[in-house]
Amino acid sequence: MAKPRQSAEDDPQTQLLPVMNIMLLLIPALLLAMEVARMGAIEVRPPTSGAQAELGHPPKPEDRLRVFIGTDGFEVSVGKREGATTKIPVRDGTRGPEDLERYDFAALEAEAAVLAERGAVDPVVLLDAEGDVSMATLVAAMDALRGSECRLGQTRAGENPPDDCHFWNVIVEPGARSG
Amino acid sequence: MTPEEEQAFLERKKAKRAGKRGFAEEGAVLGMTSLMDAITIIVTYLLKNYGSDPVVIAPTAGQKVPNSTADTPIQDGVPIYVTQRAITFMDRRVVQMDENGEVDPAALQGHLIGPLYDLLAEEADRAKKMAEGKGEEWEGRIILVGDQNLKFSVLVDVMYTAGRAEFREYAFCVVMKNQ
Repeated sequence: MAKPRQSAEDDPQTQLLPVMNIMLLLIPALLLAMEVARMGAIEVRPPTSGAQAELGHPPKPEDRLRVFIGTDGFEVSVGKREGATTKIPVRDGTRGPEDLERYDFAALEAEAAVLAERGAVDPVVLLDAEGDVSMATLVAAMDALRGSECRLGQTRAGENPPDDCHFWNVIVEPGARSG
Repeated sequence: MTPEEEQAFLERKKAKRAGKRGFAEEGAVLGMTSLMDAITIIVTYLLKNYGSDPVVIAPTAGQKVPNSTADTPIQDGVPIYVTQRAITFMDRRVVQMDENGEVDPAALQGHLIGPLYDLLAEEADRAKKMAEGKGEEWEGRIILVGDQNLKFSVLVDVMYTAGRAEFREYAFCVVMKNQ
């Protein structure tokens, strides 16, 4: 009896090498495109954007919280520009203006919490700073004013922000202090 | 010894060694399946990470983005990279900074950064047309990817310039702190 002829089709084998080649090219490409650190965003508004109107209750101008960041500390005031100002001095004046340890962010957060507790002011803050103040200081001040426990990430779908959030709507208004 | 003789000698030696151990010498086969499994898992993980954010922020060399407790994800927008050396937009170094980290005075007209304004206005026109074509409203969002030591005065200049180019919304890009 003749032995049946064995063809190449009888022994199917998947060609994995081309797939492996593509995969090994994909890995470095994706690694390069991958985020090493998780990026987030802080929404800020210019003075003329009508941020207040978006909140649904246009505030009286005297209700606004104003914070000025200077090299000598924070100046917090509510209401008109010439109104009473609470000064929060720097914590460690020996450090440079770009050093976050220089500023007392805990005191700023405590002040924001007290003002928010009173409920007399809007969650809007007009932020101003000296020209030399660093972006890291600005961001840390925004964090303190918003509240360190504030989590806005889950409340973007038209919900009210949690009670832990104090002043989360930031308007960057250069010259807010000097008027 | 000719190469053929040497080959035959090695074969005999191998067979003798295998005989001593009591089993036949096996041919080495590269196990591709387990390797494929591992690589598939890695590629899937990287693809998932890659596709999670609408905007890929890739800070320029030497740039340190400030840390923040903010947990709001980045929304779609046009990134502007601002370091103490230069302002980069659309992979183009638009403006050089001076040795103090301020915008080159030659590029500045008041608060307006001329070369940046030209590119932003062009981008705004293009984006508006695209939004019109899709029947959507143009959001006009700028993502400011600033260095942590960036001065407030430079930040104000960039925001002013973006505002003049009809961008209405601003977001500061930050690195989310571990929460």
